[in-house]
Amino acid sequence: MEPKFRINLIKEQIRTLPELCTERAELLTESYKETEGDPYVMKRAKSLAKLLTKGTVQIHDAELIVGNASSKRMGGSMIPEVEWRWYLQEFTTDAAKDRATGEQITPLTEEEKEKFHSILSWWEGRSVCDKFLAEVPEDYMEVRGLAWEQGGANPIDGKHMSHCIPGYERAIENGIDGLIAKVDESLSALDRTDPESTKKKIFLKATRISLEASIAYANRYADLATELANAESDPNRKDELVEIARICRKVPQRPAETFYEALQSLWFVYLTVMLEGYGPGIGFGRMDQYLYPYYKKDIEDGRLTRAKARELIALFYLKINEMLMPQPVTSTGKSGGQGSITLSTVALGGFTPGSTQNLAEELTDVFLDAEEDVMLCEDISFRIYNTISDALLMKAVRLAILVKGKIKFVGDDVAILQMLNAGKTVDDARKFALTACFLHTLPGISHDVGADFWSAPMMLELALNNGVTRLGGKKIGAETGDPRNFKTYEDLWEAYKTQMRYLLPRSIEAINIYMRLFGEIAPSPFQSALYDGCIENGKDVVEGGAPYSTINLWCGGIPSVGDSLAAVKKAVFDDKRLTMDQVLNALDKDFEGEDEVLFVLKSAPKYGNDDDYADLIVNDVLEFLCDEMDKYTGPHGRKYTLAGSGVTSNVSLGRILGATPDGRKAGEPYSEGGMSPFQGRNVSGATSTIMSTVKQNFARAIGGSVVNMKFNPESLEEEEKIWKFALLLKTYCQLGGDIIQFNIISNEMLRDAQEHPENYRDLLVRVATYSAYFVGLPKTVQDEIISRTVIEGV
Amino acid sequence: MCKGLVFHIIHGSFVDGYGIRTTVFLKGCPLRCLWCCNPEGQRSIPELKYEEELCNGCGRCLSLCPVDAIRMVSDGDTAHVVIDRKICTDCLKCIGGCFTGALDQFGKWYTVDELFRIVRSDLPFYRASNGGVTIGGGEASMQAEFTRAFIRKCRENRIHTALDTCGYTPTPESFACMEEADLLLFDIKGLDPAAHLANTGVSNDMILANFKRMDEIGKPMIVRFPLIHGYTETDESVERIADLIAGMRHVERVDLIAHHEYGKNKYPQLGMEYTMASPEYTDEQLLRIKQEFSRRGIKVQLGG
Repeated sequence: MEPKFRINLIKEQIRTLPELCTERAELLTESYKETEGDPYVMKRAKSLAKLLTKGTVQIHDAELIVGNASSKRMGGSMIPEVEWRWYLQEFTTDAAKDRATGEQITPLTEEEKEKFHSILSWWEGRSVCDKFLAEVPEDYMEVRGLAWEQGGANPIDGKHMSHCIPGYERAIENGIDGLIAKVDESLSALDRTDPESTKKKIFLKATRISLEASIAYANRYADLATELANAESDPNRKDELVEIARICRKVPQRPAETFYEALQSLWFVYLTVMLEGYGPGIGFGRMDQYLYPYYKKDIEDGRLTRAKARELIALFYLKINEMLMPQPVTSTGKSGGQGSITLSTVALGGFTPGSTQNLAEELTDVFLDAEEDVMLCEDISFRIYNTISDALLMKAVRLAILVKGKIKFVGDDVAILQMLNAGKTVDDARKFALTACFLHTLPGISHDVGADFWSAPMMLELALNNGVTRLGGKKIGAETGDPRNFKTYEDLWEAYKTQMRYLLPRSIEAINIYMRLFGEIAPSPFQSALYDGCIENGKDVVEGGAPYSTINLWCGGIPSVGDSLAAVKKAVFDDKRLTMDQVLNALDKDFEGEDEVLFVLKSAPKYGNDDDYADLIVNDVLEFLCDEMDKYTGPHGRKYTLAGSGVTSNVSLGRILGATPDGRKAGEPYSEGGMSPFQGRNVSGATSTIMSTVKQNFARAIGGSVVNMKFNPESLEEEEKIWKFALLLKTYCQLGGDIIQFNIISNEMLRDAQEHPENYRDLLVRVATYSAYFVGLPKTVQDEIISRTVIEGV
Repeated sequence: MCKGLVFHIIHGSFVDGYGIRTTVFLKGCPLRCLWCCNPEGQRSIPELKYEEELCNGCGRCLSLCPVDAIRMVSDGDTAHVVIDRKICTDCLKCIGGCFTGALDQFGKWYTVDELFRIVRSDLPFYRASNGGVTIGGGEASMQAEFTRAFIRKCRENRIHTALDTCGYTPTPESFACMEEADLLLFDIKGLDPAAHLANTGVSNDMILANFKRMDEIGKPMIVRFPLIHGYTETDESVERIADLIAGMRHVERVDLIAHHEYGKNKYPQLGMEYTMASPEYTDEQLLRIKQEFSRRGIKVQLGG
C-alpha cells in the first residue's frame, strides 16, 4: 500500500466525532471495589492490570502501529479517581452542548448516562478532588478564579500529575523484562531493617504487577493480529498483520531491535503510562535522539528505507491524534484553551547526549517530513541549537510556516542555563526536552509537574485598590494602603510585592496539599519504572523517587504588569502629567470620559519595542516572582519554579480584572502567551520585539517562558526571505530567547484585524521602500491582501 | 551636532537590501512622483498628521491653533474637526490638545548618535544575516550632512549601509551621500526625459548621469524600477531600461516594484489628494516584464 494512501485512509477513519469512553472508569471502579483493603499503590497496580487485561483491544484497517487507549476509534477516557463530578455536570446535562473547548463529543445515550451515574457516584469521598476539597482552606476557593485558576495537576481539573516525560528508552532498550529484573534485584536487596522497607516492598511489588500487565496487554494485541491475519484474504495485509503479531509478541517485553519495533514498543509503553494516570502534556521526549540508533542500524542493514521510516512516523503521529482527554470547562469556570488534546509533545532537535552536535539530524529530518504528511493536532517542539545545520533549520522553519506556526521553537542556550540554575549537571541539562505548552524537563530524570495559573495583573489591581478587586469589590488582598498616598514609584512597587507575598502562600498551601495527596492515593508505579532512581530506591515518582522533582507555577500577564507599572511611573512620578488620583479615578470609570488620562497612559513606553524603560520593569516583575518561588519547597522535596507562561488564562482571568494603567479596558484579556508583548503594542518591528524579550532573565524562569509573534505569510514567500526568518529565529535563541511560536497570519486573523485594529497594530505590511501597518491601509487594499493570502485549511 | 528629520524606523525588515535590515526613513524629497507611497516623506519639515476617524470632536485643539486653521464640523450626533491646510503652518501646537491620537506629527529630529543608538540595537541580526541599515525616505541625500555622518558612523562600526535613492543630487554634498554608502538602492523611473518630468517633477538627466557614474566607480547597486502602467512602464520603456542595465557592471539585481495603493490613506492625513489611478498588474504581465530582464542575464525579482 502506498504510504500516502495508507495515511489518508487512517485520516479518514479518525475523522469521526470523538466519543467519551466509559470503559476505563468502569474497570477501574470495579477493581477499586475489589481491592478496598489494599494500599493505594497496590490498588493502582491492580486496576491498571485489570484495564490492560480486560479493556478492549482493536486493530484497524491499514494500521501498522497498533494500540488504542479506549474502546472507541476516537475516544476520551475518564479519570474518576481524580475527579468525577464534572463528567456528570458536563455530559449528562445541557451543559454538554455548551462545552466551550470547541470540540464536539458524541452525546451519550440514555443508557450510557444511567451507567455513568452508578459508576461515578461510587467515587464520592474517595477521589483525589474530594479529599483535596475536604482539606483545602476555604479562602483558597474564594480566591480561585480571581488571582489564579486551576491548571496542571490541580485535582479540580480531573487529571493526574503531568507535564513530565518518562524515560521510555529504559523500556525500549531493556524491554519490560529488563525492568522487571531490576525490580527483582531491588526487592532482594531491600534492607529489612530500613523503616521504609515495607513501603518500598509494596511499591516494588506494585511496579512488578503493572510491568507484567503491560506485557500481557501487548500479547493480547499479538493474539488479535494473529486472529485477523488468519481471517485476512488480502495477502499483503495478511503479511502486515503477521508482522504486527510478531512485533507485539516481542515488544515491549523484550528489547526492540528495529526502528519499527522501537516505535511500537514506545507506543505501548506510552499507552500504559496514560492508562495508569492520564494527564495533559505527558510528552514523548526526544524521539529523534533515542530512536536514531535503531534507524541507523536498520538503514545500514538495508532493512529500512527513509520513506518507510517516514511512513511509520506519520502513522505514529496519527496515533497521537486518536487519543483524547476531555477537560472540564464549564463546571470549573475556565476558559477552555487546549481542548481535548493530550498535548503529548514530540521533542525534536538538540544535542545528542555526550555531544554538542545533533548526531541524529538525519532522523530529525525524517520526523519533519512526516509532519508534512499529517498536519493534525500532534504537538511538536524543536530545539534551536548552535550547531544546527542550515538545511535542517530551513526545513523546520518552512514546516512551521506550512503548519501556520504550530511548531514550538525553543532556544537551547537559555533552556540549558535554566536546567543548570535548577541544580542539574551539564550532561543532564543538555538532555532537556519540551513538553506540553512550554514546560522544560529532563525525560526520565526529572519529574517536573505543572500547577496552577497565576494572574500577575490581579496583584497589581490589589496594590492599586488596597487589597480589593476593582470589579467585584471583593477584599482578597492585603491592605497596602490608599494608593493616593504613594509618594514614589517604589511605594507602588512595594505594594505590588506585598500583595503577591500575601496571596502566594495560600496557593502554595493548596498545591502542597494536592501534591501530597497524589503521592498518597494516586501514585504511578508503572510510570515510576521509567525514571532513574525509582526502582533503585523503591520510591514512586509521584512521591519524589526521581533524581529531581519540581513544581512549576505558571504566571501569565507579567508584561501587562510591566506596562502598567511603567505607565504609572512615567505619567505620575517621572513626568508628573497625572496624579495617582486621576489614574485611579479613570480605572474606576474604565476610562469612560477619561480620554486624556487614557492617552497619557497609553503613550508611556510599552514592552516589545526595545525600550529599556518598560522592558526592565517587566524583568523586575519576572525576577521578583522567581525570587518568591525560590522560597518554597513542596512535598517530597519538590522545588517550586516559575514559568512565564499563561496559555489562555489571560482571557478568563482578564475577564474579571478591572481596567489597568497600561490602558487595557476592564474585562479584556491581558497580555497573551506568557511573555509576549501585549497584543499589538510591539509596533517597532520584529527585531525590536525580540530585543525586548531577550532582556528578560528567562534563565531564572525555569519552567519556560513563551513568546508569540505574528508573521505575515506574504513576507515569507521567497526562499531568501524564509532564510532571513530562519536567521531571525536562530539569533533570538542565541541571544537568550526561550520558547517562541510564530502566528502565521491567516485570513481570519486579517479579518479580525479589520474589526479590531487595536489588537493588530504590530502587523506590518512591507513592500520595498514602503512603510505602513496593515491596519492603516485603505479597506480596499486590506481586502485585496486578504483575497491574496490564501492559505489552505488543514 | 546636526540633526536629521526621520519619519519612521522599522526594525527587522526582510526587504530593502540584503539580509535582515533596519530601515530609517528620512523626510524631504526633491521629486514628486505621482504614485508616491510615502507622501509624508516629501516635505523637509515636521508635518501635521490628522486622522479624521480618530477625532472625537472634543474641540480642545481649536484654541491651540494660532492661525485658526481648525474648525469643527458636526455630522448629526458626532462631530470632528477639519484642518484648512492652506492656513496651517505645521506649527504642531494643536497636537498637545489631542488625546485620541487623531492629531500627531510626521517627522522627529534625531542626532546622528541618537539614531545610531537605535539602529545599533539590531546588530546581532545584521551580523547573523549579513544585513545592515537602509536609509530611505523621502530622499535621504536631501539631508546630506546628516546622512553622510550617519552612514559614516554605521560604517565605522562595521554596519553595512544601503542608501535608497532617487539619484537626484543637486548638490555635491548630496552626491557624496551616494559615494559614502556601501550599497545603493537606485530608483530608475523611466528613460524618457519628458515623461520623467511629467511623472516626477524633475528631468532625469542628472539621475541617469549619476547612475552611470556610480557604475563607473564600481558602486554596488540594486535597481528599483517602479512599474506604473502607462507612466513608467510601457512596452518600449521596459526594453530600454533592460538594455541600459544589461550594459552596466555593478547592478547586482533589479527589483520590480509593481504599483500599489498602500500609501493612499496617508494622503488625506496630510491634507493631500491621491490622484494616481493605474490598473493592477496580472501575474502574466509581471512575468513578461520580468523576462525582459532575465533574458538579458540580469538578476531580477518582483518586489524589494
